[in-house]
Amino acid sequence: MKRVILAICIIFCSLSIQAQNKIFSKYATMDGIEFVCINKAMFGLGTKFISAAGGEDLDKLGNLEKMLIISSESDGGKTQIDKDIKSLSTDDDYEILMTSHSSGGDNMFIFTNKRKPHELVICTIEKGHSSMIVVVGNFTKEDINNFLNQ
Amino acid sequence: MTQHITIEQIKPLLSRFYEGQTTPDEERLLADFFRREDVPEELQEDKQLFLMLAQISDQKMPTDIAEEITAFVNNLGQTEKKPVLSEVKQRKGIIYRLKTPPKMFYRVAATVAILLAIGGGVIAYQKQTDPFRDTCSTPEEAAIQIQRANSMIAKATEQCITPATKALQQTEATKQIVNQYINF
Repeated sequence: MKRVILAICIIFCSLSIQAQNKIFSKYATMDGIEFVCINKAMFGLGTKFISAAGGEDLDKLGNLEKMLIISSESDGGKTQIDKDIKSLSTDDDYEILMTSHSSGGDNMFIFTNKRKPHELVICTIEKGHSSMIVVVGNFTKEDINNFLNQ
Repeated sequence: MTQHITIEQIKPLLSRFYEGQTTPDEERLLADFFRREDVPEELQEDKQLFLMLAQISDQKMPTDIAEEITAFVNNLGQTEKKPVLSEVKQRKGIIYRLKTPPKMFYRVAATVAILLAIGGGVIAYQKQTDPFRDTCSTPEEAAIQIQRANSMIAKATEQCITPATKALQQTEATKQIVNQYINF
């Protein structure tokens, strides 16, 4: 009986860990959303390719696990992204690093180190277009500062 | 009595023995007959059989066989029923040494196997349905997306930092003007 309870606990724990990423993972199969996922290995290859072509080395943040680009120009997708940006900005786990508001649109840099690995979300809300760039890795706020000031 | 028995008498008795119809006295007669030296050639095979049977019946049963059987039966009962707490320590040795280790081993092995199978299934399922699979199939494609992300980040950074820088510059300029007026 103890073993059964233990097995159930393990299964629930793994499911709850999965649930944490649901806010971004749901976009993978959503209509009207452009979802790009680049994992660590592919990111490394991509940046090497850019460096070889004489481009700028973008892997400045370091310890990157994955990067997501979530964007939409459709009404349904944009509404969902806007809703999630709002919920992230009011989430206690996330901290707003900087924000800008203009007639052209709004930008927000949100960071969390309360989740492992850490997440940096760069949100853009413009007329007819919204996007989130999610950078996942074990970087610090200082690393982000250096990256943005380069 | 054995001396009087003849081959003619033995043959029907033997037939009845093989049919399982002889009495214990008749079987004793047969056994005595086959112990004799002058058994005819045609009955030599039967003689071998009777001598073998006689050898088995001559073996004496151990005197403590009844106790051994009783102890064995009692032990069977003990493994099936749960021992009371005061007896656990005493029985533990016997149970764990003779019975429990193999059973425990199989239980643990079965549990581990089941957990591994479930875990493997879950991992395989997660890999199959992982929403965070690479959407770029080549490094070139990844490079294009990384550059795109970088330009989006740069644009957002500029929009956030430029007004702040401008405000800072204006503040500095205002400070200088104020300082000039103060010094004047």
